[in-house]
Amino acid sequence: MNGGLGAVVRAAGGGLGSRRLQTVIIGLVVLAATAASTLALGLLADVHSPFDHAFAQQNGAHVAVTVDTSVASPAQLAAATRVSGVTAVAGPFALASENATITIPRIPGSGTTQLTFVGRSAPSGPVDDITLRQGHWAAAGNQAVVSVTGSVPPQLGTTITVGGQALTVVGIADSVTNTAGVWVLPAEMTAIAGSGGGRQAGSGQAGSGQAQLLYRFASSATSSAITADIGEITAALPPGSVQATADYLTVRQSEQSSVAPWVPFIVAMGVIALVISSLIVVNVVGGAVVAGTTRIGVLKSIGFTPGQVVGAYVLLVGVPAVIGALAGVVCGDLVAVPFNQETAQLYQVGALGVPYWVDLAVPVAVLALTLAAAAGPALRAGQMSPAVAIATGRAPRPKRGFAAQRALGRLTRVPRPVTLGFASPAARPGRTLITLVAVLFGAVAVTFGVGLAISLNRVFTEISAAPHLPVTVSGRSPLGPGNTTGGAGRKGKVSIGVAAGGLSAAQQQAIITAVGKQPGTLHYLTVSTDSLSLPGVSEAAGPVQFTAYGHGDPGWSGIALIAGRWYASSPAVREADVNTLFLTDTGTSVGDSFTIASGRHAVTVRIAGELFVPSNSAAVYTSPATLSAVDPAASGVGQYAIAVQPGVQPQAYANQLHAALGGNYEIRASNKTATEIVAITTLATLLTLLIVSVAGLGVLNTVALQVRERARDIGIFKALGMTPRQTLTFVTCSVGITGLVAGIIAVPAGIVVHHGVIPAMVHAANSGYPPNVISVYSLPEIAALALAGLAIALAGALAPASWAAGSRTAAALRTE
Amino acid sequence: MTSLWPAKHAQGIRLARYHGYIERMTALRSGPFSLWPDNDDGGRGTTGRGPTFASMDTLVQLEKVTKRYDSSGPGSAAAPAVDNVSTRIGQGEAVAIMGPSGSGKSTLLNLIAGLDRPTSGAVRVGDERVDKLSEAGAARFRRRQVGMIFQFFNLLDDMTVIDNILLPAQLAGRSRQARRRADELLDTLRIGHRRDAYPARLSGGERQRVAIARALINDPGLLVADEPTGAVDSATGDEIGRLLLDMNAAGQTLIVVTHSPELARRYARRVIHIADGQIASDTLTGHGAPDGARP
Ligand SMILES: Nc1ncnc2c1ncn2[C@@H]1O[C@H](COP(=O)(O)OP(=O)(O)O)[C@@H](O)[C@H]1O
Ligand SMILES: [Mg+2]
Repeated sequence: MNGGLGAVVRAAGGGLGSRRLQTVIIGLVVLAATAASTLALGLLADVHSPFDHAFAQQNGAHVAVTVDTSVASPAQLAAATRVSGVTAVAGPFALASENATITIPRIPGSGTTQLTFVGRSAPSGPVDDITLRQGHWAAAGNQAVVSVTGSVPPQLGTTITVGGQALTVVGIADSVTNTAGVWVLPAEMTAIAGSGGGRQAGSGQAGSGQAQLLYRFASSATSSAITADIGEITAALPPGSVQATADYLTVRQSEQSSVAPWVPFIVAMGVIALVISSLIVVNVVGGAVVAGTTRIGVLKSIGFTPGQVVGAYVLLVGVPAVIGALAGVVCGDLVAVPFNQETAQLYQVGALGVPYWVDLAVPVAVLALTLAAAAGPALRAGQMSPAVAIATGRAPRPKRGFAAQRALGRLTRVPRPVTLGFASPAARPGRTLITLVAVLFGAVAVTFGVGLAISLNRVFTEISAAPHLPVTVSGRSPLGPGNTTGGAGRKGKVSIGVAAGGLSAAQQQAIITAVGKQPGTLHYLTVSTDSLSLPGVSEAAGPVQFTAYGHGDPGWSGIALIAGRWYASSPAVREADVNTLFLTDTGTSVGDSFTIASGRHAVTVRIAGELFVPSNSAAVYTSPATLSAVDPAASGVGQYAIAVQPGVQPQAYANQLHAALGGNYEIRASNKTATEIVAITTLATLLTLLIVSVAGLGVLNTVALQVRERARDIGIFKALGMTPRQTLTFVTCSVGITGLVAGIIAVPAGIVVHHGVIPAMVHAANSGYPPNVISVYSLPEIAALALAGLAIALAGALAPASWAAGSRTAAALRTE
Repeated sequence: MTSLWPAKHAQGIRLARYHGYIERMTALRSGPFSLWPDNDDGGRGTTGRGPTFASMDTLVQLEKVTKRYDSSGPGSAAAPAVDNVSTRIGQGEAVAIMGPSGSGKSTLLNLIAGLDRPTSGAVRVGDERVDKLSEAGAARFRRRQVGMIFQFFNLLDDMTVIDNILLPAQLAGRSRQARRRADELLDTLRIGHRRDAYPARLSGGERQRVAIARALINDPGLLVADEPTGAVDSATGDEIGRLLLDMNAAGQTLIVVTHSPELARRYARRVIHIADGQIASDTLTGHGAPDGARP
């Protein structure tokens, strides 16, 4: 039996071996399909895994509750730890939000920021088992451990001064749910609470304190389960004593939101890749088996059973498919590495890989699809009588497209090889349709990819003021360079307010004089920043970021308005512009009034406009006067941001300014490209290339089949005087028209995909968007993109067309 | 009965000269059937043939032509399909090539038509060294100089009769001038009423006439036919043979590969027998002459 199958494989192998090209194409298509799917699925799976991984490791808190200890007694707190559904509790830990001054060793000066202090005697515990990354836990009253994601730069030896007491940072720790910015010994908390003039909940009575309770619950997977859990806790505590609750789902979402914007894009690309791959795999594999029909007939006529025949063919398709699938998984994994490493560094959870289930599921699914595609035609051929099989393979297929041939033959002005080619698609409508769809998907990917790149470029040139105000001057930062940029990801949560030490009046005068004298200055804005905790605004990703542009038109910042207008610069007018997240968090809209309450100050502003500032934190832009009314303790103008005249190099300008101002100023010229845009553009390019090459391989397969089938016709053409170049023209035109049509359909289709995915991406980044982020396709671009289908078709047709052009004429005519 | 019969005065002169030449040449040879022995000593150039030969324009000249197919089985030392063949075919000749199946007739024809390239030797047609042409050059040569007719017609099924006929002219980029010529040929070959039909609807004889019209559309100097009557019944074969002879009578040089000794005898004036890739004999027949010499 086995020997019999071996014989069949060899016998059938002769048939497929002579179709080496198809075997190679099957392998390559399966490879590209598997690689694209592995990459897309692997990245998707990775969006959730790093946080979950760390959360499980640390027994992260499902819910953190802040309780007012002036309302709830210790006994009531203890009772609250025994509510139903709780599986583990930590705390109560004393908690306080206070303003503190931070001094970093060897860096002159200091900064002030609001910090959340929590008293804990040890990092370990049944809940929120904190990972110590550097140093040790606080062992004495004057020691502190800072969060790796908090506002204090994670550097040992840093001094935190709060309430007149200096704490030295002795450890760097990581709590996955960010339960605190600074940890100290519990005994220290009495000295810290209420000392720094920080936020005082409620009436802010002296002596009142706060406590943190950390819970793990049995049911915690959904936000409704979490809400129920929180309800249990609240019910167990006296009314009004629960000041704040935070759940891990919010943190998880915020942790993931730096990756989340890319999910719709990866899903779109993944879906395109999967659809096109399935289509091509089915087409190629089915075509290979059908092409072997005659041989199947011959095999059966010499005594092979249908089962043996089917098995042999499925096996013969399976071999290149398995090789392709394995190679595809390896390629997908390799390509995914750089992207995942970036994520891994972000989360500090060690090296990540594509999850094992993806590495397993993708090739299994692709192989199943391939074998299913092969099994249908193979089964049919297996059931066919030998005579029918031989006849089916030999007989000229029913010819179609005579009318097209005739009509095109009349176009005497067009070269004959062109009209001959154009008539070809009509002869095989089914195959033409499959080619059309394959090229269509490829061209959709191109249109979408190009649009995405343009959109991202706009987003990243409008997300920050850097391209518009490329030169910045600030005082020597006490916290060192690098902290003034609030970027995406965990490390980026360093608040701007910490870094910006205010400039003195003398320093400002010096800057104004130097900038005024220097040629190449277009205009400049003063920049004051602050970060404040506002009631009602989510702090899952940090406090609210305040920016005040002064001395000019805030529109010069280049930040795009989604709605409304910029705030009035007049110091008397209380107006502010906010990002979309601020509006969502506070439930306000443009035109509304909003009371910014910080500490003992409350200022009511009119929301003048919605700004395009995609971020995990709420952002407020207002005039310097309004900002100092909100927070008189703010450090004032920290930076001058300068726009240079067209043609002036920012770096050259900065160097010249540095020469004029001297070493006491930090002068920077923006020339950096955002790493996100590089990473995502690379990924988009890769996926687009994979999709396009699958489409190209599909075209190659179809044209190779067509050249094989029409060998006699091509032989006749050549005998009648068709030159190699005319043959090339004929064959490429036969698929060129299909490619052109597909390309023209693909442009609107690609634009639809783009218009669906970009808003989803921006929404995932907690933002609305200005219209020009989505209206990216200009007419010349559309015209060029419409040719993408043609380009894919021609690229795929080139190899078989040149085989046809180089084929021996005499041999082709001999087959009769 | 033969509407194509021109019977022009000039034609008579040419044929008379031709017969004289053949007679003299045959007399020069050792054997009555061998025009050019294979062991050609090279001393005989064109000039060496004397004035009679010079008066007869050579259209096709093969010099020691050998064709060996690379993939001729496991034995790489397999016999060549065409083995050191030298011969000449004059302007206006009608030559029949005969021989058993697999003897190399088609290969020889393909070499002359520039469809294939010899392993060694030289193929000249008119002024062209056909064996030295590039692929594109060979295509242009075929297009201008050679009309080809095949056993199985090799018509394109998805094109009408007129589109099939016009194709070589269109490939040559002269479709406009060719329209009138196509109509002439349709008339001459009596297939005008089939102008817009598809090949599948035509009889074998009609198909072969379409193929002949297609071969002649560009007014080639040389018409080659590979077993043109092989796929039709004998009556139709006869008709095709007569048509070809008519063409020849009008001055068309003709090389026909055929299995049929009768066809060769009746419609060709010279018969080359091929065996194992070599010329076994090269004879003149008294038949097929336009001057009523037929039996
Ligand atoms: N394309 C080819 N490849 C390999 N061998 C060939 C090819 N064409 C012809 N032959 C071989 O060359 C020999 C002569 O063939 P051919 O010229 O077709 O003979 P004929 O036309 O006299 O029947 C045969 O043995 C044939 O098998
Ligand atoms: Mg032959």
